[in-house]
Amino acid sequence: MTAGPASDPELLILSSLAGGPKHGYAIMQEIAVFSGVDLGPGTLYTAITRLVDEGWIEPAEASGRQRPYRLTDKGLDYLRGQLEKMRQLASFGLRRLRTV
Amino acid sequence: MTWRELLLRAYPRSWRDEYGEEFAGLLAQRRLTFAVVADVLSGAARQHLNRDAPWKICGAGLFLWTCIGLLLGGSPPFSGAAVPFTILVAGTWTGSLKNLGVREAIAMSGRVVLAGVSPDLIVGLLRGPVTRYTDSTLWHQWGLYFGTSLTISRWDYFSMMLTFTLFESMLFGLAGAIMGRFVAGLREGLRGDVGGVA
Repeated sequence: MTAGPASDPELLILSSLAGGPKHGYAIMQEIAVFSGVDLGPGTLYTAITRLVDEGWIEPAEASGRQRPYRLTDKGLDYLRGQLEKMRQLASFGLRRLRTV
Repeated sequence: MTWRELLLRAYPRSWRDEYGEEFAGLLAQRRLTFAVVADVLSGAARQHLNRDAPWKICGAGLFLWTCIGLLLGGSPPFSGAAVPFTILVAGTWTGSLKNLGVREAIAMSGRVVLAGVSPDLIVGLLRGPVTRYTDSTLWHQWGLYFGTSLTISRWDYFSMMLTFTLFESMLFGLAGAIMGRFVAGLREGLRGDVGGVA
């Protein structure tokens, strides 16, 4: 898959966490399944660190060595806004394509 | 120490304290291919840029520059010109983030210099007595030179380098801190103007 808004690591992680709390490895696996993007560990944790710093996700109760993360209300609003923008862009682009 | 532990060590300590254990767990589940190693190292570099104090980044830059200078022939002016420039950058950068006091500015620039020129100091110590000539030396620029060549002992070299760089760090560290305050003030002013317009 080529780079673009749909392969932005932060949006992919937020989309994955919208389905419930997950730890790093589970997030990586789910992203590979639903988007075909194979996030490397460095990229994944760079994005997770930024999302935590922004307050869009937060750590949940740790289970063993892995610590799950969950979406915050702020993160949910951000994700909703970004996906809405992508939806508008997609529908505009598709409308234009019909006239070609 | 395993490769995975080494990779984890590439990250800043503050980051490792927060995410190290879970990241090590994730790395343990991945095969270490070239792409994974490159990805982890690039993540570590980004964390250093985001988390580390500016003096560490500037000190590391000067360290690399000094190493390249030594590999290319080891002339003191090569690192000499870079030293005040790096201290100024570090001072301005740190000073624009926080209001640096005189003591803090000197301490910060001293760290930049010691980290940055340490290869030059170590090589100078290992190399022993050196002779420098007028056409390619720094010594005569300092006014310490009499004659066509100068032979100095390793300890003379070490103490001269150290004294000069520490003096440099005080001078340019303070200048950088003052410039940093100016940049911070300018930024505040601009923010105020934008707020006023909005």
